[in-house]
Amino acid sequence: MLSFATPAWLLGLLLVPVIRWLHRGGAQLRSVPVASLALWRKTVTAGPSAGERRPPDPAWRRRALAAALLSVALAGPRSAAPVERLTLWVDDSLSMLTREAGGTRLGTGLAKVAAELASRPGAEVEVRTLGNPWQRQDSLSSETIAALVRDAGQREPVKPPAGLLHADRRHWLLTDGADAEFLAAADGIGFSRVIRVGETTRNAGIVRLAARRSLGDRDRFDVELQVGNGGDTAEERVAVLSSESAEVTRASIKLEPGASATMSAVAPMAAAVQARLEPGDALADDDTLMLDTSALLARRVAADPACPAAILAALQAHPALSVTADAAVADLAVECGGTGGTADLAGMPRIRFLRDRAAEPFEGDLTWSSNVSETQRGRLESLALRTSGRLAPPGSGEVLLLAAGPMPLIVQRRSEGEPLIETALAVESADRDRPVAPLLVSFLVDQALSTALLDEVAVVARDERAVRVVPRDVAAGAATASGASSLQTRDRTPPLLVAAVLVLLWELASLLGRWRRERVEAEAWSS
Amino acid sequence: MAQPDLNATALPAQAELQSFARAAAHLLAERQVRAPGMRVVKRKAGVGIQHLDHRDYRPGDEVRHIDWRQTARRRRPIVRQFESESVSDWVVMLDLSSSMAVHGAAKWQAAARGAAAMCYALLELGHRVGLLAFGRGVRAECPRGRGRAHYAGIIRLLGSLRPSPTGEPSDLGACAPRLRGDASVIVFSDFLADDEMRRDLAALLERCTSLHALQVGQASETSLGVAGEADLVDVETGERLAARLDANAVAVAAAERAAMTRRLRGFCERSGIAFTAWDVQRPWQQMLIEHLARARSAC
Repeated sequence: MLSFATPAWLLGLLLVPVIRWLHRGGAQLRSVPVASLALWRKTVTAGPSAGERRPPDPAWRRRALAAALLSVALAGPRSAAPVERLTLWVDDSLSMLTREAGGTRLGTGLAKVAAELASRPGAEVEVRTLGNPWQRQDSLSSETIAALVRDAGQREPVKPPAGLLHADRRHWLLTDGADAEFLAAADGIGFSRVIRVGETTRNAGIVRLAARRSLGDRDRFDVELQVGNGGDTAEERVAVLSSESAEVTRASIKLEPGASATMSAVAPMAAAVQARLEPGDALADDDTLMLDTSALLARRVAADPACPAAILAALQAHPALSVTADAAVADLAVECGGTGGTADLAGMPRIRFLRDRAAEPFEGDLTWSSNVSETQRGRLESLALRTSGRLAPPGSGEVLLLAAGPMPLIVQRRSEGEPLIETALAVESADRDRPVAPLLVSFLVDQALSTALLDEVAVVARDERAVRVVPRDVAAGAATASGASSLQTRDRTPPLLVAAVLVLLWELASLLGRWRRERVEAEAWSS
Repeated sequence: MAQPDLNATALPAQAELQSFARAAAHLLAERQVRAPGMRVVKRKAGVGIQHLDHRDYRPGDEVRHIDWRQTARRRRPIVRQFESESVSDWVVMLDLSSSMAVHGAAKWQAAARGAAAMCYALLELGHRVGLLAFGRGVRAECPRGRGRAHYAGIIRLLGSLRPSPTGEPSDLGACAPRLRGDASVIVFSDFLADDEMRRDLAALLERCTSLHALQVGQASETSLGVAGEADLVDVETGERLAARLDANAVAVAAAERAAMTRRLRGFCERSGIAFTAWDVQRPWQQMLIEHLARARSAC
């Protein structure tokens, strides 16, 4: 079916009869100068005067053809050909990596689709994944298949965005149907074809592995492991927890279909903790999980020797801190007005205690910065706070964290780009039963490092759906891409333009040849 | 249409001119070359150098013309009378129309050569010679004169003349009013006109002592070297004619040209005009000698 973008240009076809009429006088003859026409009047003339109608100049066909081609090309002809346009949606979830006879579900499915597409050589295929629908591959080549297999298992499937479900395309789905939630969400899409793969129905996998510092033992982690059963059969596994290749503990876990179990353990402090399930199953990728716990290692603090014992004791007692004498490797410095130890620690977060007078109570209500959480405020307000110095008011860009009336008590300043927390609060408590130093030091350290050290948790987890491997049949819908014969519109302008240019070049060459011939004849005549 | 190169008008060399003048001298010795049927012009006294007769002296006569011997013999003043030199005047007329410029201007070259040779020969014999070049009208004129200096002036004029490649018709009749006194006229032209310029020749004949017509022509006038359909353009009028050029057309054109020559020759014979059809392929010396000889024998 042929259509035109700007049909008005077709009026140019009316030039064809005009061109024919303009050439009615016959071919443009060569001009031959003669001394006198009287000598030639009795010759047989070729014009109408000879009583015969001269045929039109044959060049009119070439010129009419050029005009017609240009007119049609400018009209923008488009043809709609029944070309199959197909979008293959690939489920690249973790369950598609389940290994079965012949390879993984994903590899087997892609090979199956590729073989089917090979029998449709004219089809225009694009490939998208359910994990990242916006990334598009233009064909299902071997490179595409390799990339899909390499990147699979990172994300669970999501419903394809409506904007990508073009109505003029067929939509195929390659999946194992293991994710019931996705299937429910995608129920209304109506894929024109569903290629379901997968037979295995048993799998247990690690869903979550988390660790936090043990508050009772600063050299250990509290570890929590969650294991799920993604199959349709009760499973029994042995969960093995290891730390830096040394096995920490192992425990046997029984799981009902669809259930999950949590196991807690204490592991020595290390840079990583690994969990694995024994024996392995068809989906090996979810049988192990590695947790990087390096972020939970104790921060090193360089303390000013001039600091009072209460501060030093609080630093040493903090579960997330370790006092070091080597200031070069410290992550944090604490100053108490002394000159040694921390004088050369510029360029790292610092805490500075002002101690230029004896501790004394202060007057006025406490005013907190909005940067301080309610929990932290409550902890400090429960203490009998006193001041041991006087802070300068915060300058531009500095934050007043705590003030008592007009008197600043804690100020966050910047020094060489790093935070400098200054406080005028005294660490000596008026109440021997409620020491100030531990809570104050913990608060100041959190402010200096911009983190809640005691609440830090390292977690690695995967979606609970990831371990589900039971395949389900998915019915192909009443294709929204009902265009079983999708029409592809092709722009036919370029070939017509090329043809018109060729005809014009032909005309140009003809005129050039005629000019050269006439010039040669004229030169020959004049000589 | 390419412009023919007319700049190099190859006039005869001095040796060729002297040789031709010697050969033509006896043919031009008789002042009055008469063709059959031409009217007789009697010799009459006038200004000249050839002694004609004596008569009695009359007041106003030049003293230097007194013949003292006859005066002594007859005992009264007697003066010499000289033959009027007007009959020895020659005017060469040269066609400068565009038809003379076609096909490399070969006709123009030949006509210019012939005119120069005739002028030289006549001047060598002591005649007064003038030159008129005509196209749409009189395009150039060299008054009659004698001597080698005059020949040099004629040559300069010939060298400066160029036939216009297009748009210049022939009007020989425009030269007739320029003829004053008795003179013989030699016309070099292709006579390509509807009536072969017969009317103009008749007008000239009325005003001159004798008239010579040399029709300059060339074979390529009718063999254009082009085959097929062509648009023929008359270089003088610009008129166009679509024609299918083939051997037949060339033969018809050649026949028409021959018919024109025949009609012109017949007219000249009837009118006492010395006529020669000159194909430019033939040497100009041979053609001029033949023409003079034919004119003298006819006389």
